[in-house]
Amino acid sequence: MKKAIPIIIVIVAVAAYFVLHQGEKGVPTKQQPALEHYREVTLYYGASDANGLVAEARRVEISDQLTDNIRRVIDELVSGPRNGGVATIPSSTRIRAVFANQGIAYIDFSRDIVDDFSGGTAAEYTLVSSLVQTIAANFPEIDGVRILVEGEEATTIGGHLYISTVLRPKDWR
Amino acid sequence: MRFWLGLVAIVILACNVKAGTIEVLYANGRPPEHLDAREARGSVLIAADDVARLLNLESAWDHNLKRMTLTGEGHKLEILAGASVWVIDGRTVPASGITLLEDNTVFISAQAAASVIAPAFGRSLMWEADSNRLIVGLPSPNILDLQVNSMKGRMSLRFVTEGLLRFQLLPAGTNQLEMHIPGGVLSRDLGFESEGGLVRKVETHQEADGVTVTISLADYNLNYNVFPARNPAGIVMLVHEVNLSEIPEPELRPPRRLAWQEKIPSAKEKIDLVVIDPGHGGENFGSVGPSGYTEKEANLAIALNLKEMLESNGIEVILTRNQDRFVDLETRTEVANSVGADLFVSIHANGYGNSSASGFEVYFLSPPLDDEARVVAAMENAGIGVVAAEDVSPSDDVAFILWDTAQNEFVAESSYLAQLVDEELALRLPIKNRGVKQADFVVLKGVYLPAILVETAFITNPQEEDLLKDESFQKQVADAVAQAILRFKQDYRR
Repeated sequence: MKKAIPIIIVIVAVAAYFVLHQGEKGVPTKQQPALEHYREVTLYYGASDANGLVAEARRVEISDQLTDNIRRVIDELVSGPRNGGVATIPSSTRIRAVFANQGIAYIDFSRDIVDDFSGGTAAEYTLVSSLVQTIAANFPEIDGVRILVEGEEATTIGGHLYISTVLRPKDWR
Repeated sequence: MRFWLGLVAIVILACNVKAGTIEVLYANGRPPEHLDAREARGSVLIAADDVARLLNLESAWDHNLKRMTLTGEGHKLEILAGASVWVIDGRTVPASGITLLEDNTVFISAQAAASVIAPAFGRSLMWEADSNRLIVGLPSPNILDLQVNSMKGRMSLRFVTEGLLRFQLLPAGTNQLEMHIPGGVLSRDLGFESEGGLVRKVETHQEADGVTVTISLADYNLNYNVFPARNPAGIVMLVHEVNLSEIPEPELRPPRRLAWQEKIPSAKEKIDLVVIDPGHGGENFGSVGPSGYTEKEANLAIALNLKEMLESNGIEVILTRNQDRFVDLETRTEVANSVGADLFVSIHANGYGNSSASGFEVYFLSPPLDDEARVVAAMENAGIGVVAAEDVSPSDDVAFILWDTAQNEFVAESSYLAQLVDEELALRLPIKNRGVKQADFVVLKGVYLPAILVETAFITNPQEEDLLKDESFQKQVADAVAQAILRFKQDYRR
């Protein structure tokens, strides 16, 4: 029975979330095209010498849902560079969930992001900065990112850098 | 007549006298010694001859008059055994504490020696009744001044110090804080009271092994931050009214009385202890080179070399692992904090998704500049002024950064050590210098002493993997770090 309580809370929370957002959606927006469309986004990958990031433009299908769009952009980032940059998030990583609250995007990754990570401080730093900068570049309404792994806060990805906090673009360049 | 009455009093007193010893410490580093002492009516008494010797005074005993005379620095003190007065430079003053005569030796209270006799000769003597210790002399003052700056809604206190001093701030009751500065020596009483200020009162207390500053705030609803400042050296405390929309929950650091406080090098024992942390180990390989050489092997080899080099220079070393085994990050931090070490150095090799990435880099910890830090930085820029504009260098900027981690108190030292290590590596290694950097390392976060992390080379780069495998390269890296630590030791004033 005790085990069920958190589950119930989660269900209630999720239901509340959808009900609230249903309300927002219910307000008729002006002639929003029903069809999804494409937008050019900027993805950041590692520079070959591990000094900073390189930008890569990509066309991504987007919708009118912020969290959906964040997910699509990160999916695209995870799929890897096509233009000479260095991959950052392990390509095996899945995005389990994305939500946003008060300007902070919460990205819940599968544990592959930890298990399949290899590299040192340089790789780890680049991973975090590529994620944070990619989100910042494409979603002006987001000014911070929190990384979750399998639904839980993670202290570190590769054992070097502390990530259990709101990651701000200005701190991860 | 009075004289004889006095003698009777002494004889009666003598019946309840116990013998013992006390410890004498010298602030100038002379080895400590023990003195014969007596205890009577709860007072510890020491021989006037010994007091004269400790204070470097002449002493003369007049057997007939039962009079002890101490002279020096143009002053004269006469102690008449059993009389209720002493004579200082011809002035008669009430005798301080109990005087005891035993076999032609005059014993006077240790408290009186410290509080009356030493000041009369312009000397410094401190009596610690709790620990039965007498401390002779003070090193020259290193807490020179307290500058107070008050503005609407904020106030800054700056202790101007000679060199970098460690400090720790602890909550001490309602609206009260205590700052401990181990090894601090006040130039004078720096306390003040301010009726309308955010800081109502500051009291400074000189103790045997440092200074305690008691700070009374006007209101609990104030936020405060303390950090080291450089150019000029100092300890700056900022107090500001809490703007609830701006600042998250006020955070009192848990009162962590950590190992270094107990074991901080004092005049009598100088500890030189460095914790070396070879990164990864056991099932955690770290980065792996193209030919399969692992980071954990390289880190350990370098760390073992470094240990040997430091030890041959008289510095004690503790390794967080001395073999290929897994040690979690918390344990590494705990080792650093629990052994009373002076420095923490974590050794790593870098790894990256492109094999061309190359070079060494040295890190110290900086927590991300969060919003609260911005407020503080803005305050600083608004005129409280930790650093003059022309003096700003990257490492000075760091003084602005926050203290929600243990490392914050050591930012200045850590950045300086990182700088030295980087310089020494650059002199020896045939690879690119990527410089001194800051990042939020888990392993450095909770470390309560100056701490750095060295990325020695990119193991993912084939040439650098070969270097990392090479014993002479491992020795060069170790030699560079050892030299930097020796330089740090020389430059850094406690």
